[in-house]
Amino acid sequence: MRIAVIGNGIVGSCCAAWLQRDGHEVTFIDPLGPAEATSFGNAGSLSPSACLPVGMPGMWKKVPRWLLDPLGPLTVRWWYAPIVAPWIARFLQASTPAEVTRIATAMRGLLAPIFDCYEPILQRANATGLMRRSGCLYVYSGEQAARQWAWGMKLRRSLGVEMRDVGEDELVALEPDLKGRFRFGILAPENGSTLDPAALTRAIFDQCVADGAQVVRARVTGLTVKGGSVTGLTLDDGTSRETEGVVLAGGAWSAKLAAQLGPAIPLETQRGYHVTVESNNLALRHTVMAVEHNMMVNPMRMGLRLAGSVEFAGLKAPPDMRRAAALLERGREMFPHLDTSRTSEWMGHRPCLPDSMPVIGPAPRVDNAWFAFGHGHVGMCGAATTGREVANLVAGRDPEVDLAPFSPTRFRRAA
Amino acid sequence: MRPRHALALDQGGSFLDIIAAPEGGGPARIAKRPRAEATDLAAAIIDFCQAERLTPARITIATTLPANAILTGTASPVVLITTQGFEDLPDLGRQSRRDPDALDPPPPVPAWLSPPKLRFGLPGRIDARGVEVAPLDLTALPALPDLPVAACLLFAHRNPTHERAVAAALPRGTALSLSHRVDPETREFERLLATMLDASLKPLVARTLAPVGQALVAAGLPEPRFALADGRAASPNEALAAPLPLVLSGPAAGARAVARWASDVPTAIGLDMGGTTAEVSLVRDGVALETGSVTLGPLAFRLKALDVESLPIGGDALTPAARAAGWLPGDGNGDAGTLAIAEAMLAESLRRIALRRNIHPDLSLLVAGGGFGPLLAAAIAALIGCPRVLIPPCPGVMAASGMLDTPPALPAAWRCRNGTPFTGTAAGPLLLDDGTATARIPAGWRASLRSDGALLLDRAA
Repeated sequence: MRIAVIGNGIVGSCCAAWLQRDGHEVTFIDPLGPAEATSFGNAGSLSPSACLPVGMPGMWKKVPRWLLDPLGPLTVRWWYAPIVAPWIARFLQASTPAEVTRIATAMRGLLAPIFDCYEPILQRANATGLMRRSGCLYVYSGEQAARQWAWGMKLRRSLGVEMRDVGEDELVALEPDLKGRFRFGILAPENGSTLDPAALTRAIFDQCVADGAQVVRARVTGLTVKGGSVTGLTLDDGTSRETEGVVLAGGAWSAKLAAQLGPAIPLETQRGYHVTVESNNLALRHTVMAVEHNMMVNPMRMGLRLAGSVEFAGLKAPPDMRRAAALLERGREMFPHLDTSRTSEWMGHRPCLPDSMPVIGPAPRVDNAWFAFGHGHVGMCGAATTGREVANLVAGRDPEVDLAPFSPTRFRRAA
Repeated sequence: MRPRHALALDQGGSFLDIIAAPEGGGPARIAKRPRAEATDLAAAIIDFCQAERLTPARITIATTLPANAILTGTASPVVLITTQGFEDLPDLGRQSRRDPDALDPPPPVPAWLSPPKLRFGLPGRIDARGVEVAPLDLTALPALPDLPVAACLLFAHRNPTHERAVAAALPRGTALSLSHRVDPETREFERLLATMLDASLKPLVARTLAPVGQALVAAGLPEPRFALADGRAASPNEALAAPLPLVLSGPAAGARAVARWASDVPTAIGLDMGGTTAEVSLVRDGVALETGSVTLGPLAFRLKALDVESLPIGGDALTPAARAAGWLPGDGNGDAGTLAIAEAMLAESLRRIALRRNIHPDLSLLVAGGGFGPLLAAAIAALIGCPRVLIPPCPGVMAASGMLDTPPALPAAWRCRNGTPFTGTAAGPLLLDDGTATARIPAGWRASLRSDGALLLDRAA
């Protein structure tokens, strides 16, 4: 089948790579190059354990603080609050213990095969070196503080995630740079990360192109639907193209096209920031999740990346780099000896649904389009499995992961 | 005029379970016969009806015979007629191994099912759009031995003309399975395997199940129906024409029963543990989950079925240990540690199976039946996090009850070990017997009897 893959970030690239294994002819369509948007600057975590949604039980109590503290870990710009309020209401509805358990169960199904799904396409792209499986340390100021998150950790464990408590001595032995500030940790030994998310995305994309994928640098503005199938795409350069199938993997920019093929999907951008400390002088071997700081620390090949923070302000507002500076400030708190003489900052758009689950499945109104977007905080983690499952759907094979919870029609009732 | 009854029979690995439910309501009668004493199914049914003095209006039967024939390789070898060049497909399969470390992986199609000398390739070709590329040459077909025949031609699901021509060329009366009828879906190997298994069961069904129907009709009873893997039931003729769905007939009936008992909860896990195997099923919103592929021993094949996984662990092997532990009456010299191991193994399997379909035990009801399920259920629930266990009345015949169209009114006769009837609620540790099974309520659990006879076990807060 000649398939147009809209979006060449990590999800689109993985979908294309898996589709090519089935012999499909892929055309990427994206106004930007590979990994020039969200896939560029994320935390680079490849975690089969990252199954918990963003909205956890009890979160509603924190809503007032989100509006008041512009530099807190989660913030809503005041002028954006009325626009995002309905979305946040649904987000909070999905944060009950029962909903969180249901969501985490589904997400664990998607994330558990992460390495099985990356390995074949990275081997083909000769890029397995960009992926490492060195484990992730969740660190806390003390065992007492960790108890606040114990419910989520127990839920992770009940889903088969291996997580091992690590006392202060062992923590310091594992990561001497954490000495002093952190006295308790939980090691997820099965977690991995990438040395460079942009390079990982580009490697998969480049291999697709080497294997015959075409690339069109344009934005898709509309879809032509005839007789229950998408037959063509209209592009913003005024041209149009025929196609036999469409995979919509446009990340945070997917909502308008998705609405043409089914009921509205409440896709919202959670803007995330990073600081990459290029003058990194630490010797971290694991990725480190500083739970109380709400920050992911990943030693990458271009430096130490501190990533995190959630800001609701839509797709158009310029970044507020004070948020990146706040990340750096928290990084200095964690590692007082960190050399921060050379840094770079970045902001990207996480595509988020209120239930923190992506949309993966056939487009409701046509028979030859498939959705693969909305991976929120776990785009790198979920991309490869998504690619494999989209290829299964396109081929008419049974999915290997139960995709029912990710259905594009799940928001129909309230949307 | 005596009331007419709906009769359901579940022939399992160790027992034959029978339920007779009066049409229009009223208490149902049950019986449990050791399988060895009930090898002649028709005679067992006729005897039961005479002894109980009842007239059946409908008879539904679930049986392990077809599944056992495939598992033990005693079903018939099959003549394969396929497109020329595809004769090796049974050996090639998908080249996927379930166990990557196995030194001697099982072949994708068992050797007994498809001996190479029984494979014949015919010239002729249909393409992927269903257009004939080369005409079929039936002159290449030799005289065939007296065995069932599976015809699986390339892209027959797109255009069955060639398969129909093969069917017309075979002698009348040949047991024949055509791929476009058995499994009209894309992917050659899957279609081929389903078609071959279907053909393989035809002699067995003709020899063992069809005569049951004839014997019952001869005795003045109604023609029976056979339970299928997807939860429906078929007449003997339908079963003879397409016997593959007869595998998993008992497990599917069990899953239907579990779904009925879990109709008012969002998700449930079913554990139906009999003498030889334990069947695990899943229910969402009162509906048993379905699957498109079935695993039976070393074989995985395509079949629309209720999603039931069979674990090779049953009560027969555990009974001595359960007696030694005092859980079951009688003397036994088993090791009580065996029970803890069985519970842990079952718990791990239940968790894996449930999570695979996005069902979290923390949010789910565990419905436990079968002769041995109620004995282990609460301990398993504690291990995996299920807050509540439901044990239906007469749990030992739970699977048979799933074959009845309306839920039977089963007598709840729970008795404590000292013989007093159990009513109301009580805290564990406690053992309750009802004649078909024993429910064990460990310390930290509380049992209560619901008005419909179901026993609810709740974890103490």
